[in-house]
Amino acid sequence: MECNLPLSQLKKEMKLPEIKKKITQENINLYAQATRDFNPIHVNQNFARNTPFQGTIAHGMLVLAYVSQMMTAAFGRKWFDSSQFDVRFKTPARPGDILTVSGIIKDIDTNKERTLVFCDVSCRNQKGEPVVIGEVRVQV
Amino acid sequence: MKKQEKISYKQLEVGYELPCINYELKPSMINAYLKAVEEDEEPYRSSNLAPPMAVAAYAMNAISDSVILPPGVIHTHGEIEFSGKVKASDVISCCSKVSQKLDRGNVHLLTLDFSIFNQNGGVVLKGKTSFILSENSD
Repeated sequence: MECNLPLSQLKKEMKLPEIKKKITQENINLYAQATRDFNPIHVNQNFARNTPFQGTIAHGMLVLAYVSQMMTAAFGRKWFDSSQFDVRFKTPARPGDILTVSGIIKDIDTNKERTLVFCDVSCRNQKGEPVVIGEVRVQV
Repeated sequence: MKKQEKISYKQLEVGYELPCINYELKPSMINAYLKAVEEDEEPYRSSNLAPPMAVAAYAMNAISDSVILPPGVIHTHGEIEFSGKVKASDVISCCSKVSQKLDRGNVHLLTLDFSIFNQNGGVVLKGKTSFILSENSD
C-alpha cells in the first residue's frame, strides 16, 4: 500500500474518506489497559462524576487514533513515513458518543523531490460539536 | 517498561529533562492497541508495523511514568511528527523535556516536548503534548 488515494487524483478541496466510531466505556477500558493509562477521569465513574465533566471521557489519544486511522486509510504507509499533525482537543468524547472523523485537502505543494499534502481534519460528535480539530501534513 | 522514580509536577521547571525511558514494543502491546482502537487495516495485517499512534501512546505512558500528575489531568493540545516506521520488537527510547509551565488561577498548563528514537538512534517520532492540571496538583 503506497497511497490509497491515487496521487494523480489528489486535488484541493478533495474530501478524505470519513470514518465513524462509537465510543463505549468498553473501548475506553480496553484502551486504558492497552496503553496502561488508568487516569480515573477515563475509567472510574465515581471519580469522574465529581469532575466538571460529570462522567468518564475518552482518552484524547484514543480520539487521535481514529484521526490517524482515517489518514492511514487515505494515504497508506505514506502516513507512517513522513507526516505531521497539530491538533487541539475541544470537547471531550463520552461513552455513547458517535464520532465522525473527516478531512479535506487544503493545499498541495509539489516540487521535483516530493509532494506535500496539507489537510484540515476534524472529529465531531453526533451533535456536530468539534472533539478534535487540527491540521496535518503528509509527504506522498 | 521499567518503573522510574517519579518527580512531582510541582518540582518541574521549564527546561527540566525527564529521564529517557527505554522499552521494547512487544507484538502483544501492538495487538492490544489495535484491538482497543478497532483497527484492522491492511498495513497491520500484512506486516509487523506498529501504528504510529501506538508508539505515541506508549510514549505518553512513559512520560506519565516519570511525573506525578494529579488524577483527572487531560490533554489539550498535541503536535506529532512521524519520521520513520516502527516495527514490533523495536526497542524504543522516549526522552522528554518541560517546554512550558503556566499557572493561571485555578488552571495549570504543562507542556512537554518529546522525542522517540529506535534502537539505531534514529528519530521515529517527535512532538509536543500539553496537559491541563487541576488546582490541587500534587
